[in-house]
Amino acid sequence: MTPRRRRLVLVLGILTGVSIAGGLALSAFRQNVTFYFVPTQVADGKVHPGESFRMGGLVAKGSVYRKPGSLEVHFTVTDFKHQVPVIYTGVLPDLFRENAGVIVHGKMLPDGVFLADQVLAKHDQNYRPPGIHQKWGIDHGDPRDPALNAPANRAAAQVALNAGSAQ
Amino acid sequence: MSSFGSFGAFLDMGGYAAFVWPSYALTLAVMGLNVFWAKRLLARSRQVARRRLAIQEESRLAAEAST
Amino acid sequence: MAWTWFHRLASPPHVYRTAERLTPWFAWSAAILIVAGLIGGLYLSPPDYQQGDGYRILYVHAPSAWLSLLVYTTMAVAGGIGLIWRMKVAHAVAASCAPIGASFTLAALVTGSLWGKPMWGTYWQWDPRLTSELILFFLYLGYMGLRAAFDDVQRSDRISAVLAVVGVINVPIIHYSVVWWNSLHQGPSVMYLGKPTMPPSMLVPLLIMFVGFTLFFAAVLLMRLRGEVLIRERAASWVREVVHS
Repeated sequence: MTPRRRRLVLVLGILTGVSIAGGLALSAFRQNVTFYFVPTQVADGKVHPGESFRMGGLVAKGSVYRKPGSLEVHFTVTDFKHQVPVIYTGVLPDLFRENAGVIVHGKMLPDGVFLADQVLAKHDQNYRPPGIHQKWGIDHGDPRDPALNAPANRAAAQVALNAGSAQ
Repeated sequence: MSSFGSFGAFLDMGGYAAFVWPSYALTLAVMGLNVFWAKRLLARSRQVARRRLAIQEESRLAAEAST
Repeated sequence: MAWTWFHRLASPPHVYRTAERLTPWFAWSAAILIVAGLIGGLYLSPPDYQQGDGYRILYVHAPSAWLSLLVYTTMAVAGGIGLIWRMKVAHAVAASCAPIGASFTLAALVTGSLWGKPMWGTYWQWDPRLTSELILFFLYLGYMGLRAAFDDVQRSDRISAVLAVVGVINVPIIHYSVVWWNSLHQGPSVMYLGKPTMPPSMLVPLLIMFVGFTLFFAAVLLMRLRGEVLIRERAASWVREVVHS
């Protein structure tokens, strides 16, 4: 074949080879490449026990409880199939609120509660001006409105904690 | 048409000024740098080309002189 | 034949003169669109219901990220063409791209970080999108470093072109990372065939910025291309005209 044809084959070969190698590497390391697990995966035991990991989902509506006089907060992360109760002590990000995305980092305690050392708010790619409801995405409401993070009463929080991820 | 009540409010960016303004400043700086680098490259390349031409001219004259 | 335009494209004097002629058009239209986009994004568009005015970083972050990918793809395609067709002009295009792409990748990373801190709660996470974009930045740096390592322009052209082609697999990874894997970074804001993720009052300035940034890339590329083409020419007669004008 002509020298140019040979060079064309070489370049395409490099491209193909790198793509295959990359694809294989990524699929082989999928477990370690996973940035976060969802509650269902946690419930299914897909996470190595005893290790710190990240869990992502939505903050279950009505599940946020702040312990008065401290920075301790309890809430539940859900993917609508499973729930995992979380305890976190610290300042929450501005965009943290119920029915919104969250990614927590920490460890699973033996009683089924997730002890978080970091809480990040995850937001979707929808943007819209205030006051226009339901047209451009779920209305999470104004994060600065304290009523939206109304603490669940203590009993409800306790029930959620006891239930753990058994749902 | 704008949502900002005053110039002060505009500068404040709803409390996010410390994040918004540096972002815009950096991006504009990157644009400025790109223009500057491009002009500098062109100027330097012209210098290199001029020098190459001069050397070529010299050797051509030297070759002619020796014949 | 149909290939005459291709061969004309390969002619350094033609490319030089065309680049010189076209640059002002791209530069001025870029400037107008970017100024319009700045006014639209910073001032005219409404605040976001959850991020307030903080979301306005979008108007510089997303176009920068777009350029980081567009420029690398251009660099890889130009490098590939240069390798296959042994075309000096193609290598000149690739070389011109690198500093542009690297600087906008850095802009995307830093503006993204500044946006992440108030909204997510962190300046950085090793999530798939952020990590692969950082890798892209290192690819650009590696490309420029590799170029500088060789005195012979031809050799540095060829070797860096191979790196560019190898690294291009990172581009679809970056783009689809938010779709393929769980990540902190949200999904795409602008999709060709999808529903828009924001109302026109917010979307229009963003699209203006995307086009403006792209035209800016074209203008800077054409400027750098002239320099790169000159360097690769032995002292040909057309160079004499250009240099002494």
